[in-house]
Amino acid sequence: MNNKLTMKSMLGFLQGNTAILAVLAMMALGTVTYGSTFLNYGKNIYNVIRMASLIGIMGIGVNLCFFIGGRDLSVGAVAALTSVVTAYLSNYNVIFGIIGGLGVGLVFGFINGYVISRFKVQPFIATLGTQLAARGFALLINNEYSIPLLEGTEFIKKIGNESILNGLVSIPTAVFIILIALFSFILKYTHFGRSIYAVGGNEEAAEMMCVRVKAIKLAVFTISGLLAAISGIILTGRLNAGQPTACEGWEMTIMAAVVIGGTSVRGGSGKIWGIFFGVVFVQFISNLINLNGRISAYWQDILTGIILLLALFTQAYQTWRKEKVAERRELEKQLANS
Amino acid sequence: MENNNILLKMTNISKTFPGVKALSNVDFTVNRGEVMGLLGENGAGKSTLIKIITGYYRRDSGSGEYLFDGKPVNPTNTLAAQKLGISTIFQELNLSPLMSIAENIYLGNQPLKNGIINWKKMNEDAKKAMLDLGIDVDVSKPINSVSTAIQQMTAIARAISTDAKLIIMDEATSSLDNNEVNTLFDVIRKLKAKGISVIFVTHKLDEVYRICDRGTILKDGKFVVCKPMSELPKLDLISYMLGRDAREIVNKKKVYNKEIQENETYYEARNIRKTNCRLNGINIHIKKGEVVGLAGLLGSGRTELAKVIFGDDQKYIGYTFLNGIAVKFRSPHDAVKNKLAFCSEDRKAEGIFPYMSVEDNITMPQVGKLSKFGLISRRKQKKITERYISKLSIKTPSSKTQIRDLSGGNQQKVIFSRWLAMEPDMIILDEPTRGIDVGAKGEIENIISSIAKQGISILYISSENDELVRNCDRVVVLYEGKNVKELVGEEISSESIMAAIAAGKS
Ligand SMILES: Nc1ncnc2c1ncn2[C@@H]1O[C@H](COP(=O)(O)OP(=O)(O)OP(=O)(O)O)[C@@H](O)[C@H]1O
Ligand SMILES: [Mg+2]
Repeated sequence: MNNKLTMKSMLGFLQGNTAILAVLAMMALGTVTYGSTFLNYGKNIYNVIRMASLIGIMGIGVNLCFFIGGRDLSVGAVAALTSVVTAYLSNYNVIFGIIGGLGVGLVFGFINGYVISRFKVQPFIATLGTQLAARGFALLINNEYSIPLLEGTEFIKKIGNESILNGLVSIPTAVFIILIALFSFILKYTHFGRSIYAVGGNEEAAEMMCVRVKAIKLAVFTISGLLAAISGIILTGRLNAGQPTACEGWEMTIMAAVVIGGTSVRGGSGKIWGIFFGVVFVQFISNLINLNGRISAYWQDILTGIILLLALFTQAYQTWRKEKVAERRELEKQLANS
Repeated sequence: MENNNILLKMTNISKTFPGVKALSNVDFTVNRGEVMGLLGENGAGKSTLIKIITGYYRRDSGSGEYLFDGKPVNPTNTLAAQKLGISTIFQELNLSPLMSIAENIYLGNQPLKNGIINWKKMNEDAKKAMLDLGIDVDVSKPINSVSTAIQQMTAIARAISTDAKLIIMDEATSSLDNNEVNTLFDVIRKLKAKGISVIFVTHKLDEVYRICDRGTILKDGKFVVCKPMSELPKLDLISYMLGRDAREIVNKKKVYNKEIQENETYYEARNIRKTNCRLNGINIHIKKGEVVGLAGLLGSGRTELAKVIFGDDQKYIGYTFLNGIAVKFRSPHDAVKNKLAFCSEDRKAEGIFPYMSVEDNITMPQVGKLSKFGLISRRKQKKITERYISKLSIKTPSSKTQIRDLSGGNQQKVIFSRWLAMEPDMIILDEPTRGIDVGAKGEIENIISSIAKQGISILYISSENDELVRNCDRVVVLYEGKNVKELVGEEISSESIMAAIAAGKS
């Protein structure tokens, strides 16, 4: 009896969290197709999750933007610029490198937030502008060449390459998970977090409810910039260099991951941990394609696109079902009453 | 020496929007522990004044003075106003649609424990706050899944949950039934006893006399008069609001035309039942050119019946006839094709297109008819719009103004125009005068009787019995999904309707 109940609630949970289901399906597919090559934790899955984490850290910021009903297209370019600036400055002093990198994220995030909240520019357009600018700066700094990390930058290299817990969890993954936990907490238990949802639900209403809409928007976009910078710094360590062409096209992958993770495109609702499964899922797709070696890499985009549409479809379906269930409950209640 | 009894003092306030002077040199004072009625026609500037008090709008620079608690203040947003001790229920309910009832009450003031939100306490407090308002509801439900009345109560609970010195209620009673209004008035009296002041905006004049100590009247953005309610008899009040003699409106009576009962039946519904027991065998017919009123308590099945008639609800058993021929509408669209119209009680769901012009909002369903080779005839569109703007005296700077910039009551008139512009054979009006001022009410009632004379059948749903008395040829009283009584012509009076409802109960 009890067993049945937990089974049922488990199933219900999975149904409500398509991303987890999708990740499990991918793992099953990988296992069936490639067996132990795929399942080998240290050699394969560990890497997939590390890469997913790198994307996912900026994904958190993008996800927050989704919650307030906005978009951030600049994260990839900001991460690239961060990596160039970090590499450049780290070769003098690692601390400068990190501060400089975070500074890039802070400035670009702040500009995004300021333009969007103050001048009511569409986030899509505003962040497209900063994307171009950030990418331009990144390419300009060293004439399109990457900047290698020299001696004395071990700390940054470590962030990108080492692991904790006996090689079980890479540092990027650890950072990602800590950030997810942190933001889950903020979103659920602080005024700031709840205000984010209020702004996304209905901006005018939020304003009338004494939420400081402009400040919230400014903060969310600034946080997104900062998270992109953190990703950029870790990436510098991973690549042993500042790479101006890094993360090209990532913003689209990230948005797909956010939606697959279950965040509503309309804003105002959602859970931040969905992004974890979203990015892991997207990375599994590319992993399976890479393992095969003969399938064209374009299949990754095609598959991600299809999955994105599926995710949107399930979102719509779930909303519809929820209404149905509510309607039925209401009816049953009335029948019971009469 | 400043009078210490004054809480809010606004002098010489002006507010200009592009194309409209919404307020010009308005004076407004509220004493401590007083309920101040803020009255005036649709578009008189009530909501605008309130939004200036709460910092949602800024008054024109250089205009006037704003004193709160004896000090000059200038809140630049609603949060600043809240910190001063001003808490507001806005006319367009200020709630966050996806959040729970509890969160909507406490957003921004959530109870904390060790610096983080204490959800358990928040839900308990919310439950209690709603119970105090006489509403027993699961407070973890999202606000967009509960009725308008509960949403309204949530907004009220929110307003009184903060430690306010002044609570502003902009048409907070428009979607409440009598019992709920009574509960609210009890709450207001308690607030008053605590020395808290209330600004109360409503178009229901009997409420004004029941709860307000004084009344301030605005007309066309100008201050008219401020008097204790005891020195402001109804006739004077309405005359001040309209700026003309109100006797014709107050004394208006329906002229009954017995011959209407001889007309052929246009619409008939026989033995309508719903599985959820909200409708238990209703029989109703409407003659050509007849105005039939539907009376009953909230939940007696009035709106449900309207939905069935309009094809918005197919889950019913029973027969419906149009001109004596059996029909079944599969969708509202189906009904519209058969020249039915339904002006619903819920303006937002009814689908105003907030960012589109008044013109587009009125002519939207007819773009097909008004187009030639796929191009809309702007000229025709304009003609229709202007006809209705003058017919219903819609207060708008131009026909191109976005509808969201109109006052609440004027938005309602635009929606009404949309349906009239479709030239229906039968029109269902569900609380058509909600949020509409006395003058416009009179105009709408005149329009109703004139279209009825043209042979259009009208089903008129209203919770206000005197409205039914003024407008209807026949009133059908519903009780728990059954028609319990029918009153024709001279039999219709507020008392007879009340009696019929009461008789249904026993
Ligand atoms: N944001 C805005 N932009 C332009 N005009 C506006 C705006 N808000 C209000 N107005 C205009 O100001 C005038 C006053 O509107 P307001 O909403 O204050 O009226 P009201 O007295 O509250 O009416 P109602 O009883 O219908 O709610 C109206 O003519 C309206 O069209
Ligand atoms: Mg108003």
